[in-house]
Amino acid sequence: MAEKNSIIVFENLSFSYGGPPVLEDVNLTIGEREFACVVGPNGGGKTTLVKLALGLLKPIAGSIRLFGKPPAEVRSRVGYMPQHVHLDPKFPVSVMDVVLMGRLGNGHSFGPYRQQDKLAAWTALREVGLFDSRNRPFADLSGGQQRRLFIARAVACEPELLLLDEPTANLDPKVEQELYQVLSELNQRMAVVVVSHDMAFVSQFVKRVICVKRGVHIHPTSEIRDGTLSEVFGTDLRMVRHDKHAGE
Amino acid sequence: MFTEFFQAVTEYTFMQYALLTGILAGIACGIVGTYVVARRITYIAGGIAHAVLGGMGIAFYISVVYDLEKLHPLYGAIIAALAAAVTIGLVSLRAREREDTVIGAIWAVGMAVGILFIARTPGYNENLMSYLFGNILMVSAADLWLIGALDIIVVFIALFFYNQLQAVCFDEEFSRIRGVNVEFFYLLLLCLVALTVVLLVTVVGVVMVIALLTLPAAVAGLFSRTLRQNMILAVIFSVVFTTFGLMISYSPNLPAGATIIIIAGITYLLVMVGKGRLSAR
Repeated sequence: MAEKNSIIVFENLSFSYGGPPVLEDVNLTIGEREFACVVGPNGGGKTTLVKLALGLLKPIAGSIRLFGKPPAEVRSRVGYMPQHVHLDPKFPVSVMDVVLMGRLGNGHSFGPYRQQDKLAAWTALREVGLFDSRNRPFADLSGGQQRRLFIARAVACEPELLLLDEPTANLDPKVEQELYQVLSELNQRMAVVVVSHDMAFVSQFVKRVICVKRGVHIHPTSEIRDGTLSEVFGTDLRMVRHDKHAGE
Repeated sequence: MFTEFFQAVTEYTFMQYALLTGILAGIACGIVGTYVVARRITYIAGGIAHAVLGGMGIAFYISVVYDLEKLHPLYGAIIAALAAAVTIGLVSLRAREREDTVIGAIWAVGMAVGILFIARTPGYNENLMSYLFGNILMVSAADLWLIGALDIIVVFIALFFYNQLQAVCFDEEFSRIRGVNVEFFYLLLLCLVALTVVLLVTVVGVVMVIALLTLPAAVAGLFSRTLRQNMILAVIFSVVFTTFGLMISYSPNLPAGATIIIIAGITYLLVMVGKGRLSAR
C-alpha cells in the first residue's frame, strides 16, 4: 500500500482524546509534489490529523509513516506552520529573526546562526516577497504579511513537505488568493498540505481535497462541484460557513 | 548635592561596592528582564522573588543557631529561588490551569517561612528589613564575589542560548517541531529568572525586585524592534536607574532601594505618557 514515493501514509488509523473517536479508520496517502487541502467542519479532526502526522499525538489504532519512518524521528524534514492564535502580536522580534527560527534544528544546536542559515532565510523571504521588510518589527506587519512570514519560516527549514494549519484564517479573499499563489509556486519543489476552513478560493490551485469528519474522504479537485461538499458534510458545512460570516 | 556623592565614591569602599553591585546586577537584570517582559511571566518572577525570603530566613537561622558563619543568606536565597522556579515551571508545563494558584501559594508561603525563621533566630537582628527592602550599602567584598559569579553565569547562559530562548518565548509549538526541547528551555529561563532575582535582592530587597526586573525592560521595549535591542537598552536603563538612585539617595540619606524603584517607576510613567502623546497626534 505504501508506495515508494509517498510522504505521509495513514493506515487504518483511529484516534481519540479519551472520549469518543475523533478519527476512525483513516487511510490516506500523500505523495511527492502533492498539493492537498484538508477541509472539514470545526471539531472534525483536521488539526488532530496534522498533529498525528507530526507525531505530536499517538494513534490508538493503526499506523502513520512520515517519509517511511515514525513521524517523531523525521519531523524536522517538515516545514510546519501552526495556527498562530497563541502568539503575542507585540513580541519584540524582527521579520528576519522570525524566519531564522526555521533554521533551528537544521544541524544547528546553539550559539549564533551561521552564514548558511542567513542565506536560507533570505531565500525564503524572497520567495514570499518579504525580503525588503526583513528588518521591520513583527508587530508592524499586516495579517497577510504575517502569514507570508510564517510560510517563509517554514520554507527556511528547507523542507520536503510544507504543512500549514489554517494559513488563511481571517484574511480577506484577495490576500488569501495571493497566499495560495505563493504556495502554488513552492509546490514546484515540495509537497504542500493546507488545512483550511474554506474551500472557496482553493480549488484552482489544489490538486486533491481531503475531507475530514471522523472519517476521511478524498476527492480530486476536478470532481468538486457545488453540491459535493454539502453532500459529504450535510448541515455541518453550512453551519461552519454561517458561523464564519456571522463572525465577520 | 552630587559632589558629596562623588566624594563618597572616591573615599569609601562601601560606596564603590554599592556602585559595582548596581552595575553587575543591572547587566543580568536587563537581559533576563527582557525575556520576562517579552514572555509575560512577570507574575511568575514575583512568586520566585518572594519565595526567596524563605531561603534567606532558613539560612540565616542555621548560620546563627549552629554557628555556621560561612552559610551566607544568599546561598539560601539561591536554593529557594531555584526550587520555586522549578516547581512553578513544572506546574505550568503539566497543569496549565492551576498555575496562578500555585504561584500565589509559593509567593506567600515562602515569605511566611522566612518571617518565622527570622523571628526565631536568637539575638537582635535587623536583617528582616534589609532582606525585604534591600541594603546595597552593606554589600561586602565577599558578597561582591558571589554577585559577580552569579552575574557571569546568568549572562553567559542567557546569551549562549539566545536563539533557543527567543524561539521558545515567541512560538513554543513551532520550536517543538524544530526539535528544540521546549520544556527544558522554559525551565532554564525560569532558573535564570531565579538567579537574577537573587542578584537584585541585594540591591532593592525581596519586595521591590519585580519592579527592577521589569521596568527597565518595559521602558526599553518602547524603543526596541528586536529582543537584542531591547536587552541592550534594558541593561543601560537598569544601570542608570541604580546609579542615579544611589546618587540621589546619598546626601539626604534616603533608602537606596526605594529611591531606585521610584526613579524607574517615574521614568516608565513619563515615557509611556510621552509615547502616548506622540502616537495620539
